[in-house]
Amino acid sequence: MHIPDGFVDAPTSLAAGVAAVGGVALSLHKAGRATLDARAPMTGLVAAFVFAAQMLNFPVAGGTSGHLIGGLLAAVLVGPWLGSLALTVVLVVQALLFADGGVSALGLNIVNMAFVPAFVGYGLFRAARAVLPATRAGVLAATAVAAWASVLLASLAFTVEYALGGNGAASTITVAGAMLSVHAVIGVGEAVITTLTVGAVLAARPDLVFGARDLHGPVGAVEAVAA
Amino acid sequence: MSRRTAWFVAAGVAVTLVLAFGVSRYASTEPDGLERVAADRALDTGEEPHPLADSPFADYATRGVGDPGLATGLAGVVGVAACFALAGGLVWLATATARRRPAPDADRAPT
Repeated sequence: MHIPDGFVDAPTSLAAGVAAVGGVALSLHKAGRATLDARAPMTGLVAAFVFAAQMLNFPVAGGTSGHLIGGLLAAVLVGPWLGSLALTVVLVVQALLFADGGVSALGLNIVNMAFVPAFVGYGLFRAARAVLPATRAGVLAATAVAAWASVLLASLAFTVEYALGGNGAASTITVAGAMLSVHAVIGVGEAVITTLTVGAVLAARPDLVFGARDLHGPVGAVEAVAA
Repeated sequence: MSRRTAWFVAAGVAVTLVLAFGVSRYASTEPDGLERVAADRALDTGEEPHPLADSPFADYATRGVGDPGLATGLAGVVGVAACFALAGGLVWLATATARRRPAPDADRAPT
């Protein structure tokens, strides 16, 4: 879902760039006060894992592929602030080292794939958890639903940016329909990969899953007692 | 960081390297959702060439490596290392900065 240079006009790209800088500054401010054990190596691991998983395009119908976005995964594992930072790093590395995603479009891509899944998607995760049982199964169900929805929200964010400053001739309604229908399918892949990953971490180290910290006391508490 | 957490991070990095180096060569090369929509609906009429398209790892293909699977895998390892170092370093810096300048409500923050 990486927007290349020239898809969206300069004013819209610049506005997204300003939003990205503001969001990253706020995330950095919050990150310094996060109560998560080993937050620096854990955020590094999440960024590295999302980068690797984004390389693994899986086929969906009609000669099209999809790949993990990972913003919701990152937010569930290390929280929305550290998660948005992890995704921002992934997107910057992809644009500057691998020519994947435009440089002028970096702000757009950070908004769509870092902020929308890590903040709005994580809000949906919290809402889903509130109506589901406070168990590991409840956490995983909320993860699946929010992961799927986060992909649709990201494709909707692109549609809004296209409506504001897209350089194509297709109508906004056409683009919205095409983006939402293909990403409704790709989102299933996002939900499967995200749920499997969160399930694996919950099985190995439940105290390291930010989005399930209510099940195990404060994240890092186990180690604080042990230390 | 406890020894247990250090082992968890090490195991996680190992899994990540296997994905980036070993599995990436089997990824689908079909256009992704946005690329498909862009091609079908002509959203790409204004697309410009990437300014860094000539860089050594552009398009996840390490320049000078003949085998495509290996070229992708090596690019994956470079990307994993870069993401781990940058994201981890950024958060470490943010934490160190915040500790030097405690928040006014630091005494009420959970520890």
